[in-house]
Amino acid sequence: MQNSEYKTEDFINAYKSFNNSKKNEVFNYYTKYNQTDIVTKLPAIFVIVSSVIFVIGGIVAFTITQNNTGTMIESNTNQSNIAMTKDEKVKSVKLNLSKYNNSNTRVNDFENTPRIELASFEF
Amino acid sequence: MNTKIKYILPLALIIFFVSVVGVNAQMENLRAEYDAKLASYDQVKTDYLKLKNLAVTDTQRIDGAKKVLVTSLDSVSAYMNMFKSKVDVINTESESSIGSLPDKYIQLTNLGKKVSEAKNLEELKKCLVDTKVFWQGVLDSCKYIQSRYMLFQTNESYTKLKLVADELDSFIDSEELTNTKNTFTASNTEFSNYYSQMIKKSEQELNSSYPDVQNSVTRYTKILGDTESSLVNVIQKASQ
Repeated sequence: MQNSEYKTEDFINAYKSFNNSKKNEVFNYYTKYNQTDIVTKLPAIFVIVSSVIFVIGGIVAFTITQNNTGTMIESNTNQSNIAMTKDEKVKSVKLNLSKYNNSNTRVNDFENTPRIELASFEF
Repeated sequence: MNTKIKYILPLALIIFFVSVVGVNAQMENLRAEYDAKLASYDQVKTDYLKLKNLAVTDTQRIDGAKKVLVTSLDSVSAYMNMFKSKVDVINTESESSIGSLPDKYIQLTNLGKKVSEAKNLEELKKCLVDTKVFWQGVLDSCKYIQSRYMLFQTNESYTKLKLVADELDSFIDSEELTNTKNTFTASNTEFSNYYSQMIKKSEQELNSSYPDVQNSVTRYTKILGDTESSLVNVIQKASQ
């Protein structure tokens, strides 16, 4: 709020109106004022910068995880035609196995359901 | 790895995970809904039996009997809903669809109409008999759906695991893998024959073989589990 009220133009006018002995004092005040302003903004800047680093880091880490740590064998310079290493294939099969889940086959669903008792009921 | 696959695969896994969680949550909600209806039906039935023993007017008994029938039909509807999602899965993904449950929903609506229009206890007694017959029919249909669903899931698991075993075989040369694959292939052929034979059966035929289906599915599920463990061993050895 103070910063918007205190314009550079005002500073120049004030600077001009003071004698030399006061000029340094005004200048020091101006510098200190602007430093304070930056300091108040620092936490916000820190949060934004660290968030950006975190997101970029996450993307990079994710990409590295998806790639293989083993040596990539390039069959030619075309990026879309890269051969998979044995390690990559093992990882790929591991992924497939995690998708396969035989526990989904539930045998007792029907037998375990409690039933509506109507057989022996009469009005 | 292909650049597109690198991004599509994780996305597909996330969608798969979300859909599995979603389906399970949906089934849990349906089960909770059915349990609540069942509890409500038991309460209404108990209230009616108390009412019956008291000297009350016919109007009160008719109202009470209607309440019992309406609540029992609600409970039957909630029970059918639990199997409807299984029918949807089979009808969407299997080559042989099931059509019996939608007919049951039409019968349920007609029965509800008959109960609400009943004027005396005699008509309501007929409704009760019809409801009992209908309920038995629903149980038979749901038993059939359950058999078909178990067979469908086992078949799906065989298909998925076969893809994994073939993929593994393309780059790992191991005696353990060869033996596992041979046993698995034999079991897969045996199950495929059994599966195609079972899905051709009518509701009545399949229901009469229900214990056999249960035992077979249990046995094949165990084979699938054993094969998966063997493949994990092969992968672990290949990773070392």
